[in-house]
Amino acid sequence: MELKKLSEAYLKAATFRNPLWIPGKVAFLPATWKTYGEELEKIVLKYKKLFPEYQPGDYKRLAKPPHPRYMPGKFTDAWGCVWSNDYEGLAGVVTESPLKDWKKLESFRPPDPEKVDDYGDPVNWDQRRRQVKRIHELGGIAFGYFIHGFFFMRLFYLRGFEELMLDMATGEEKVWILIKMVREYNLKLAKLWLKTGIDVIWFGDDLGTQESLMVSPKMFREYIKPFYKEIFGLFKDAGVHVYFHSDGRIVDILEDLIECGVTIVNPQIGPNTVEELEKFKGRICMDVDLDRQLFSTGTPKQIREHIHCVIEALKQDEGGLMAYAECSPEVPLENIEAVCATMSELCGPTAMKDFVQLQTATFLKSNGGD
Amino acid sequence: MRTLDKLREALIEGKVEEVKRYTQQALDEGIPAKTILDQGLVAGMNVVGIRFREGEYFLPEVLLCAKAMHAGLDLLKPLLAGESAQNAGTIVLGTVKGDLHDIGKRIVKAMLEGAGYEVIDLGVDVDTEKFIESVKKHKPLVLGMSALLTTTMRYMKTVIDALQEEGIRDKVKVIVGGAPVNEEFAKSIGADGYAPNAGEAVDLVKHLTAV
Repeated sequence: MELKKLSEAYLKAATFRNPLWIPGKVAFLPATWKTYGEELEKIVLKYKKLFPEYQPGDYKRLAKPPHPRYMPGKFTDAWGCVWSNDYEGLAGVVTESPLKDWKKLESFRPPDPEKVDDYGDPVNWDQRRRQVKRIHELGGIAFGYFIHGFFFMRLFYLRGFEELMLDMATGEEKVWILIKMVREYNLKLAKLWLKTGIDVIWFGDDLGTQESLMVSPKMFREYIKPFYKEIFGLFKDAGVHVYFHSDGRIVDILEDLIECGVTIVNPQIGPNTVEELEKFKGRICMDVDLDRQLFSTGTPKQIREHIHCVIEALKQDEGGLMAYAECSPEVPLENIEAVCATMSELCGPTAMKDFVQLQTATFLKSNGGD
Repeated sequence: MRTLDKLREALIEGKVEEVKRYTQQALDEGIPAKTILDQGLVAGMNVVGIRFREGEYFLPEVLLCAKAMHAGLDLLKPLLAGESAQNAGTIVLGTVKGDLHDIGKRIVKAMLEGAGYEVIDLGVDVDTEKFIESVKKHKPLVLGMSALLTTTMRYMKTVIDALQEEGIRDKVKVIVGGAPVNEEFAKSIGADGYAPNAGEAVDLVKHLTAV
């Protein structure tokens, strides 16, 4: 399918302008490709509509860890946070935080986003600009991205989770110095992305648990929201759509996120529930994250019913709905088939690549970038 | 206001230094350590648990209250041993093999300690052998397993099967938790219970261990 048509459907869905289809994405982690290989390829080729770019044999490339943090062992990012991983093909978790001791704060220096990304990989901004230009020439829309964990998570990656929670609970003043540092880094990065001419910017920051926000809405509004408003506003003012992903329950602050400038939100259906998300129909485009836990443990019938139920409840002729279905390596093949069949029935392809691809920039290469 | 009431209130407000002060004051007044623990610290943490369940408290408040509780408990511990007082029982917790996520388990640990249990935390990436060894060594009332990934939660069944094979499954109650886990899954793998959050984990443990 032409990039132009994909992009048009995406933008129309995002802006409630009667898209021809609901953009849908079935995403497989590298570990899923590694587990199933050719068998998964057969399914993907059967539902080619959802995977217009997939070429036979691609599974060999997609099964490889796209970055050291998807490899077993330890990896230190550009901020000095140490990631540990046990499982090839899944991203690791931060296990060592460089600012557990506040004494190190004064001499701590964040990375320079003009030169490297958060993971320490070199960045060539001229090349990114050329890639965006090329995508536009092909009639497509270009996505920029911040890492998953660009602000709130980065604060606890740097400080340690319990330490940050206690700092926030006690009103520790040094938290504001930390916030200022992460804020400045991200604003610098935002300005660099804005110069490239992107159309959509992807943000990810996990704010919720299964049942609630990690911090109270009041604390969110005190510590996090002002920065979100500032950085999302920069993009919104420049006409760039702001995509925001968070794991866990965020419906309690969805109103705040809209106010901050988010135009496409990616909420998980389990913690946020269809009923509660329905209240926001027509007010913000939802790229609804279907119940990946059900994919893992449910039956094909339950999965089909789930996807039907969510999409029926949230769809509107004007748009405002996208659907995202992520399959981890333990999801049985018959369930993956059920996900693909149902998504193929209810959705069309999306212009947005999955998270792993976004962060490893392979999509730019496959779209004619250099 | 009685010292124990002040202690309880200070704990509910997460005032670490005040908890220390009122614990010491209660000891100076001759109140037995076990009474201070039950009527001050544990009673306070019960309220914290309720507020967490009801959405009044979030993780920062719970962790601060847990810190305050530990500040008081540190003063009581040497005396509790002297009084030969019993804690509510031992619980073994761990995040299963292949999974390095720790946050949820630590909150559960804090709440269980707040309820008067002794918690042995095996950490993350815990394999079957380590769970079995710990159950044999500590003879806990309850073994709690945590997983954040759908990929790793199946290992919980491997551990339960291993407890069975070792002939010790009936010696310990097994509870499971973590984002991808639910009641149905818990039943399907033969666990004794599931709790969706730390507050309910305490209720579940109390229920399972009630004589």
